[in-house]
Amino acid sequence: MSRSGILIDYEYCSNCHTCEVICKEELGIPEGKWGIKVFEVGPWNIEGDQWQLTYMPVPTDMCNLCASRTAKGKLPACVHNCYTGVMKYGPVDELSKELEKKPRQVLFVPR
Amino acid sequence: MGRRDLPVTWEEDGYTVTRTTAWSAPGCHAGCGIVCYVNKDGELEKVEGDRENPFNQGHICPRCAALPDVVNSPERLLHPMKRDPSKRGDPDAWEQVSWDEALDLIYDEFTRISDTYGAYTLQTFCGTGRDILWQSQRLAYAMGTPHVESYSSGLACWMPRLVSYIVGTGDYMMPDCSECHEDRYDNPEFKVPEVIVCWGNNCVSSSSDGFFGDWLVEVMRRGSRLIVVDPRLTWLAARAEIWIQPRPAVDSAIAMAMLKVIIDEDLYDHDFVDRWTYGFDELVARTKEYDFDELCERAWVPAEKVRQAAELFASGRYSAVQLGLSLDMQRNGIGAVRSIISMLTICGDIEQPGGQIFTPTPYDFSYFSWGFDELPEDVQKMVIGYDEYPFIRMGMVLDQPDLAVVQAETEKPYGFKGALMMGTNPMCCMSNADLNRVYPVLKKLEFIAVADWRITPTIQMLADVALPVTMCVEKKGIIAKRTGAFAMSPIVGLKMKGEPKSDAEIALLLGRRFNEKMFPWNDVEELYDFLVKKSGMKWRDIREEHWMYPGQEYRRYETGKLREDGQPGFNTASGRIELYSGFAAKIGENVLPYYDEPYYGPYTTPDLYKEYPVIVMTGTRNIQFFHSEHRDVAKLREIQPDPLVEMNDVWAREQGFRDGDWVWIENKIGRIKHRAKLTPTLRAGMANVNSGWWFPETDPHDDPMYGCWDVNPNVLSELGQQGPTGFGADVKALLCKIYKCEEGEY
Repeated sequence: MSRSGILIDYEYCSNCHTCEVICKEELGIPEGKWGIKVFEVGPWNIEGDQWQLTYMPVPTDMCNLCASRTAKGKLPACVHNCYTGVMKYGPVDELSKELEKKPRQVLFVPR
Repeated sequence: MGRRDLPVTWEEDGYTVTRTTAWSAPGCHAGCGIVCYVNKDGELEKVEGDRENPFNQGHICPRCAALPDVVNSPERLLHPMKRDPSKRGDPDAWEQVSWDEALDLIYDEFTRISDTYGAYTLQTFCGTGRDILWQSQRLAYAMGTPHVESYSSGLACWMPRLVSYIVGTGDYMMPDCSECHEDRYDNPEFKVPEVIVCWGNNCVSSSSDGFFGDWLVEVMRRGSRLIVVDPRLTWLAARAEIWIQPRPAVDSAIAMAMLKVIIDEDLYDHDFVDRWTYGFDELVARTKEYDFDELCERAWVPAEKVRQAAELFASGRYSAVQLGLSLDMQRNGIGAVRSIISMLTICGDIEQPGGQIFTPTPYDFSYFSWGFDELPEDVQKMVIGYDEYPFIRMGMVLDQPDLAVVQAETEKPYGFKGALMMGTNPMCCMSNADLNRVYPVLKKLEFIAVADWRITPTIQMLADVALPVTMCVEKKGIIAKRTGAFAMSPIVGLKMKGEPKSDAEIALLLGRRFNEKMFPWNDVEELYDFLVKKSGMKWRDIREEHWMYPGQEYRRYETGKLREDGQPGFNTASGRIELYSGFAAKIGENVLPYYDEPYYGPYTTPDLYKEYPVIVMTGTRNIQFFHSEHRDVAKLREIQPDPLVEMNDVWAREQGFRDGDWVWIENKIGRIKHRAKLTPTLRAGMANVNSGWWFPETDPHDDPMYGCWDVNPNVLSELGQQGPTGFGADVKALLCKIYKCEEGEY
């Protein structure tokens, strides 16, 4: 069976932090540590009216891809609850095909 | 339609699971569908988004993700408490009492006050985003007083937008992002807006006024072109095709300038204007009173950019506007909103798929001022501002706050003696009126009862009785949003700690004591059955179907479905959209859209601006907090531990500020401190401070205000600057200076 991963369409991540909080609830991760953490890239002016302001959720080494949820056929907690619905979970080979369809996406394979 | 086929509750891996709606408490403007997991110990352990629910489709914000931490909070108020009014502020003076004792005490004290001074010296206070609107209002009327308060200068929250819509189009409107269709984006009639303007809000952070932020993101993904009007570079602004960065609180200049372009360049829908509008010639004449370049110059925006935005807006077959709170938080917001409504109207966007749609309360559920008309006419007229500002009789009838505070201070023609506060924390927020004036008038009340789920600065400083309220997962209730109706009931298996009651139950128990005629119901379910009766359903039917969507038809002005008389047209006096308002004329208000300057500013008070050269905005929402709530949830607090003042990075470095420095923000009436956040997202000479902050970790023996006085921008917001209609206040444009805190000041 193919390895699984999380595809993130980071163009539309609005920095809500739901993934961070729901992950802590799911895995019991305390304050100061994260199973997934959102990083800010920017803001800076590229030129003219063009701005760099991107948010990037990054699964950490504490992410187990919600093994106990996915074993029951559920989605990882971050994917299920994402405020703007930018995350997909699945086999890496399928997700990498999705990657080709649209720029500003990233595929994480945490484990 | 609902979804009776979906179970309300089921067992799953050792959890008892319930599908419900998350609304109040804690507060929220959305009310999303959630699925709750209760463990074998009867504790709410996990919450997730309900993917079946058409409103949020499984998406949730971090506040619902952290809902178990709120429900299980050790800070929950578990029992009713009382305290001698002479001991206000003393955290050791609380005494646990039974519900009967607490409610009898409230009844006895209010009855004493009523007998001694008159029922009209009683007030109720309501917050926002909690299930307390009809409760606080009907209770006031049951006690015989018309005084429902939110000491929020210029009622600068939603009301200015609401009345602008009512005056112009007949009812409140939102951009069509398919929210009124149960099948959402798949609905065959629905089209995404070709152009959508996000004006004066960052809806992905606020999800305010029933508009869930993700909807805007979804239509962007489906091809909507985005214009953003915001003095801050928000995440949305960074993605917009055109971002207009105006000087704060002069949106009325931008809106008038765009309207001028659309008219001058003949970009409007002549057929719609001819058939469905009233006063177009007068509108054209009004736009001619202004010079386009001057408007843009006043707004500090390049004229070319405003022109492009107007042209892009008008180019959409159907365009829509997500209008935000910032328009309310400026004294001339109504002038701006009416220009924006005029733009939507003359471009033919009203009631079109992907345009601006009417979103009435579903099934006519009565939420606002329920029972006001049961008051005798002379008592109705005692509403403060009734004569001065007739607009306040529309929508939700609240006292005009700027006048109400003055009346409370001067006690002319009479003062206030007792108050019941529900779901509100006016020491921290919902009183964006000079706290140094609001606190003293509250303090002198003889008796105050507050219902909330924990001890807040308001309860610690002011309450004589504190009533514990339930969380959304512990109560029966309903939220009638502008899309559909959603019901909730206690989630199965949950062992509730203590003896909290829902706001509806508290209203019923108190209401029956004061006025059984106005509260004839035996229990909350009977009450809700009454409230939803126009739907032909019972409350329980709606609960079992989870949600009910009346559905959305377009172009109802052609079919007569917007008017009670069944005639084609709009629900206005003329039957047309009133660009020129006959109603406004009758009450001596500005009949047309207009531009005007803030009360204080570089053009209105140049000397003051020299002394206080920073234009400070407040009221920005952070998604992890709802108003003054959630600072006590560690998982949310770590996202932002302290209140932050955003300042232009280059400018701030010139002043010698570094990221994280504590700085004072001072204007002519007070000062507050925040930590500096240096950012290029704001223009030099502008700053943005946070609202709603207090520090729940504070020992109340040291400070029963929990530090809120030091950081609360309401200390800076002056009363008496309301707009000409009584609505709007310039809390988005406070003239301040900023300087570093000395050692020992933080």
